[in-house]
Amino acid sequence: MLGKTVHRRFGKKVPDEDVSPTRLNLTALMDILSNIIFFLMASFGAQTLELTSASKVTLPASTSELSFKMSINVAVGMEELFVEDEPVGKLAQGKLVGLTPDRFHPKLEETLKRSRAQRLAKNERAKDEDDIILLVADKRLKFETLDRVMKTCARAGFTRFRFAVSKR
Amino acid sequence: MAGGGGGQFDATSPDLTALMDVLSNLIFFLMASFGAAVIAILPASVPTISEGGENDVAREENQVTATLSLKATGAVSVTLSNNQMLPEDLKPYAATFPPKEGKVNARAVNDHLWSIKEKFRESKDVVIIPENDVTYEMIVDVMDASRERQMIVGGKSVYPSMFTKVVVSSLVQ
Repeated sequence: MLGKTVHRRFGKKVPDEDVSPTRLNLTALMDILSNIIFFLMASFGAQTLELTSASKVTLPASTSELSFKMSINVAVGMEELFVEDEPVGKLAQGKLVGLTPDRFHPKLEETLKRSRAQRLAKNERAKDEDDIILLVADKRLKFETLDRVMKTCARAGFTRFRFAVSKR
Repeated sequence: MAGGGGGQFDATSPDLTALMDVLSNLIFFLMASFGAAVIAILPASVPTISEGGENDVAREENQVTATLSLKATGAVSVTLSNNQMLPEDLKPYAATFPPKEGKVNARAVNDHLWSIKEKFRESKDVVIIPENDVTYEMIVDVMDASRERQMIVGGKSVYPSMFTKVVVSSLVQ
């Protein structure tokens, strides 16, 4: 049917020229949304962990509430070993390959020493973070493997660790 | 006439609908990412050789170092040490906890360590000695069991800390 559209207002027929569009005041809602976004962005930035290279790592679950802090990242998956996303070694059936006769991992040690020197060169004073390893390890790994990784780290000057875990 | 316009003022009311749309999308994306990236940390260290033959074993009367030996089966043995106390004095606190359903009996270990913490209040150091075949997951379970106690005080959950300084070591072979 051609012609004017007819609306009903309180039971009376009203032509559409007389209907004013409803204007919602969105300012308060915008305010709330902006606050939520800032909060979420802050949390997101603090908790993002680059696990791209070690994407096959399944972290163990823990009740720890200590917040995640970035430091030198050593990731041990079931097949590969990384330092700051750089592959430095292989694992066969969850065991490190290419250990020296005294059971240290030479490439890991060398990479960590280099990484430490680079970090120290950037900072005039050594930061606390420069001496700590963030160990991102698969929960299925045996202690034998972790022990070799940790002892190699210690030989490279890193005796303190932060184990990355997923919150339970 | 100063001011001109005779008091006529139109409030600017920008159309915020498009911006709302963008912000809503952002919120959903951020909330999804927030849920997926919940990562915490557990501090630990490895033993180091100190100069002059000193060791980190507790010396104060109200302090002990707890050593937890962990077997691949999930069994945990607890022993205590203090440089100023005789081993016989600390022997009553030694205990072994068999595994429960193939895992560490975290509750029993936590109960025992809490009783030790109540007796030696300044204790913080724990040495975890896993067997070679122990999984990383099991080590984390033991660290959780030794780190804090869950209690309900006045209707609220509280988590007093216990042995927070963790050293992970291997057996001397």
